[in-house]
Amino acid sequence: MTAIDLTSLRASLEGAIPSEIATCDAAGIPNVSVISDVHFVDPEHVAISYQFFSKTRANILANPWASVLLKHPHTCAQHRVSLRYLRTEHEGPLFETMKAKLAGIASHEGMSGIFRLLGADIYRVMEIELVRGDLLPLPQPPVALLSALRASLGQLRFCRDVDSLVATLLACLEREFRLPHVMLLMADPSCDRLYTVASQGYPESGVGAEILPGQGVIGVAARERTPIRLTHATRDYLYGRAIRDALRASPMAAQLETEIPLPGLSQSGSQIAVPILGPAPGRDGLLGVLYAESPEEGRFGYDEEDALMILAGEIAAILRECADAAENAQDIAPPVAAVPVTEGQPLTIRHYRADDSIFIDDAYLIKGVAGAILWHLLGTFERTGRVEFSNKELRLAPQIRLPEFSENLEARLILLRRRLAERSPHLVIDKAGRGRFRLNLARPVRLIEAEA
Amino acid sequence: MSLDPAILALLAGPVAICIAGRDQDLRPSLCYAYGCRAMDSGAMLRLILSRSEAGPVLRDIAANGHVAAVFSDVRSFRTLQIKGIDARVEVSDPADRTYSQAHCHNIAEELVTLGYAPGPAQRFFTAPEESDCITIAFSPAEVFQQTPGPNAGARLRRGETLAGSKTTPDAAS
Repeated sequence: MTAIDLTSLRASLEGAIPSEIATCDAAGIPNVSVISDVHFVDPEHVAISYQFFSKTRANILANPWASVLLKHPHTCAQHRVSLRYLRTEHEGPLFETMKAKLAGIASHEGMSGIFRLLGADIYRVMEIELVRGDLLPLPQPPVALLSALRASLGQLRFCRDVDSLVATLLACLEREFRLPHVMLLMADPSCDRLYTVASQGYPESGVGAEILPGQGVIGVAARERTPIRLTHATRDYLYGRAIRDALRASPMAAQLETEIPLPGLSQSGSQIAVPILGPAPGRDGLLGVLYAESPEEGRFGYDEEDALMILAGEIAAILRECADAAENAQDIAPPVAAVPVTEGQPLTIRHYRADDSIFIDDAYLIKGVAGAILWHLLGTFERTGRVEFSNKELRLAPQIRLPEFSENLEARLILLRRRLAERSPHLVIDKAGRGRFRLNLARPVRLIEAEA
Repeated sequence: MSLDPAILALLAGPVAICIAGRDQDLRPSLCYAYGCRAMDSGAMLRLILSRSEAGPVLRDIAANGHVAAVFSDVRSFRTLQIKGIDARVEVSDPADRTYSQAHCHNIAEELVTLGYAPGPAQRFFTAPEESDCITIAFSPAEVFQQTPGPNAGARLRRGETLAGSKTTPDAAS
C-alpha cells in the first residue's frame, strides 16, 4: 500500500487525457510513450492497454518497472505512479471493459480502427507520489450519488412485484440520478438473448426489442457480467442496423425478435451498461442489464458505475424476493367471466405457431414467449369467457414454453402489457391484485391460427 | 547531431513534453517539461522543468545522464522521441525561463484555437515559477517517430523528415 490511495485518483484514470509511461530496457536506455489510458483495476493494480508490440512492451518484458504520470482532468493535479508489470490478460471482463473504453477513446481522438486491444497489461502499484497539487477547484458533480442511491434504495425496498419494481426504478433513475434515457433488459434464463422490458426517454420505447449477448455495450456487459462504460460513445458499440443484421443472421433468428428496434439516442455521448447479477454463478447468474446513456460526453465515471452496480444488486435481490413470493402465491381467487363485448368491428388476431408471433389486424405485435402468453389468454377467453388469470396458471400452461424462473414471467407480462398499450388500445392487460391480471377487451376478437 | 528542420519546427511549436530518466536499478522516472530550446540547429537541447515536480528525474539524470524526451504536437498528435546519454542538470538561464513562459502561453492559445474552453486544458501547461525553473541539457543521440499507431517507435535516420518519413519498423523505440 502507498500513502496515497489509488481509488481517490480514479478521475485521473478515466482516459480523458492521454497519459505517459516511462520504461527502461535491459541496457539502461529509458523510453517514454504516450498511452491513451491507464485503467483502474483495484486499489493496488492498474491495467494498461497493449495495442502494438512497442518498445514499452519489449521493455516491461525485460524489466518490469514502469512509471506513469496521471493528470486530473478538472483540477490539473498530477501524480507519478511507480508500477511493476505482473501479467497480460487476453480475454475476460477486464479485457472487455478496456476494449470498450479504448474504442470510445479512439473514436473521440479520430483514431477508430487504429487502436486495437491485444491484451490488458496488469501492473502492481508500488508507489504514488503527488507531483503537483490542484490548480483548479473540483467542479460540483452533476448528482450527489450517495444521496441518490439512498433515496432510490429507500423507495425500491417497498416493491413487492416486478411491475412496481420497474416503475419505481425508472422513476428513481430519472428523479434521483437525473438519467432521463434508460433501458431495463432482462436475460432469458437460457442466456441466449436479452429482451427490453422497459425504457424511458426515447420516442419509441423499444419494449420487446431483443439483443444477443456480446452486441454493443449492453451485450458485452451481459456476456462478461461486468459493467461496460463508454465515456465517449463510439460507433463500434452503437446499435442499429448492424445489430439487427446480426440478429437476423443468427441460427436462432426465427425465435428472436427482429421487428422491434432497440431505442437509442442518435447523438449519444456516453453510455453505461451494468449487469444485474443473481446469486447463481456463471451464465445462470445474469438476470438482466440496466443501461443508461447521455448526450453529454464523460457523463459516467467510476463513481456512477459504483452507484449503478449497487442499484443493480438491489434490483437482483428484489427480483429474487418477487420470484419467491410468486412461487408461494395461492391461486384462490375465483375465475371471473367477462361481460361479452358485442360492439365494434372485431379485432382480427392472427397467431403463427412456428414462432408464436401475433399480428393484430395485420400489424405485427410481438413474438416468442410474450406472444404465446397472449395467445393462451385469448384462447382461454374464447373457450370459457374467462378474463381473469393468475401468473401461476401461466407458469403451469404447457403451451407457453416458459423459462424456469418466474421473475421472467412477470417481466414478459410487463413487456406484453406495455407493447399492447403502445400498439393496440382495444386490447389491454391490467393488474388485478397480486399475481393476477385481467384481460380487458374493448372490441370483439376473431382468433385465427395461421400457417407459417 | 543536428536535427532536421521539420523536427526543429515541431519542437518549437505547441508540443507537450514528457521526459524520463532511470536509476541504477533501472527503475524509470518521469515528469513534464515546459519548453525545449534547440541550440546549434538542435545539436544541444535545453528542456525547462519544474524543480518541485521533477525530483526523481533530476536525481536520475544527475547520476547517469540517460534521458528520453517525448514531444507531442497538441494540434496533430504528431509525436517524436529524442534520446540522449549525456544529459546534465543546469541552472535555468533567463532565456530558458522566458522561453518556458512563451511556450506555455502559445500552447494555451493554440488549445483555445482548437476549441478547448479556457480551463484545465490550458492550465496543464503552466510554466514553473522563475525560482522553480531547472534545466536539463543534452545532445540528441537518436530520434524516433512516436505518433500513436503501428509505426510508433520507428527510428528516424539522419536526413529523414517527420512528414513522409521512411520508417524502419524493426528499430522499435
